[in-house]
Amino acid sequence: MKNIFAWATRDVIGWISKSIILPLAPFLIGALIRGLIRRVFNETIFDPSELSFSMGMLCLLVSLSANTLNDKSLASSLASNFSVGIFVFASLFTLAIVFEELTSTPDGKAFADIVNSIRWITLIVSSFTIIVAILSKHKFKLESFDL
Amino acid sequence: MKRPLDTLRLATLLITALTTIFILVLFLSDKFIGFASNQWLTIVTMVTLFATFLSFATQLLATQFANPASLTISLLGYPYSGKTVFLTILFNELATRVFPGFVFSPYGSETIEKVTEDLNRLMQGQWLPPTPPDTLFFYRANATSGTDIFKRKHKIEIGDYAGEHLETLEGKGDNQWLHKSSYFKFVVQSEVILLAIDSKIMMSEDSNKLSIVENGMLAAMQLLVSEKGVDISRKMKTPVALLLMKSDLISDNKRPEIEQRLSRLVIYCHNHCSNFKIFWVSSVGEVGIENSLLGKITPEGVVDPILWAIKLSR
Repeated sequence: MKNIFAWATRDVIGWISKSIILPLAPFLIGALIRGLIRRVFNETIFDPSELSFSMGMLCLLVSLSANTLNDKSLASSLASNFSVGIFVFASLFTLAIVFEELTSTPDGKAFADIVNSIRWITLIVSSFTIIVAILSKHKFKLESFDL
Repeated sequence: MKRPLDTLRLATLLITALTTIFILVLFLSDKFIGFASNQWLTIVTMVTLFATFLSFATQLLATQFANPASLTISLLGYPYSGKTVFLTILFNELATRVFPGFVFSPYGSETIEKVTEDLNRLMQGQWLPPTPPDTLFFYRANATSGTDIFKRKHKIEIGDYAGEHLETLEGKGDNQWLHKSSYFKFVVQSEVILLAIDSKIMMSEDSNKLSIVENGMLAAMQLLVSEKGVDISRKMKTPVALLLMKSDLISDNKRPEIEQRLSRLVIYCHNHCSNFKIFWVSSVGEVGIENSLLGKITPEGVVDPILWAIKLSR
């Protein structure tokens, strides 16, 4: 049987730790704390503003990592893509903050649906971006940066 | 592919910026609460966010599909083992000869200029100057292998490095160990490893010289296996080819003797690598008196290691 984890070399694990898990740490820790306090583990424990902030950091780190590629045209293409990601997630962060804040106003209930929709969209975009970032690392051999 | 992608990037930025500004301006206006409680705002927000996502996703996927996976090949060998001559002839042979199901084209002005300059020099009967210490040059090419629907694109990148760092494996250098050099990082990450050994040295009666070459290569392989984190119970997946250079100087009946002299390295590679093969390579073919280049270059076995590597990578 083919070992599907064969490509998970030490370098891949190091890269994922530094470029994926590290920026996502605040979001994951926040979700874990909320889950433990509320004793509920569903999508409501994910805060869209925390997730978009973490994803912005992730895009920045992947973009920096892409810039170290020897192939300059590929490096600039990948770095530009993930730079657009920084902008997209920064906007999602702003929107999430605004609508989360509005839910705490007296008429706030009207915004709950919007916050929920932003949460789902942020979750989908983030999952997609993380998968593409890992695929890019595997396909184009992005290097880990030194902390 | 570049222009549509740039337009898409610009579109993503514009849609995102306009959506955010639109909602923030509404937020600051008095009528916002009334408007926001309207279902339409939810729908507009979601549609624009979804459009942003689609645009962002398309550009990420377009970059993935437009760029083939790179096949990085590293070439390790002592100075004067003929690495640069091998790569120059290899690129010329692959680009100008017909191979069934394989098309090759050098890529990038740096590679094309270097190969052309070096080829001109060789054709004029001059040997190439040794690669300056600490210089790293990447030979790049685009290639396709297979036919029709099974055709696969490759971006080939071969690193050529002055071989002086291999000597430091014996402690001759001052803290300039091979595994600490920037090139070794490239070697560890490369998909194919070519070990180049000058077979003329292997014919020498100086056993000290022989053991220095063999020990250096053996140490490089041990470092590689260790750095790649290969489990002791498994073999390294990366194909390793041992290139015995300048094979035109060695008659067929002497070749088994040379392979025997390298038995420690060969056994180590067989034990630790899933794919290991020995290739006899002559980059320029027969040479004249006192190692002078003859007018005609007649390479032998130069393309075999690369075709073998590409076949394995499929």
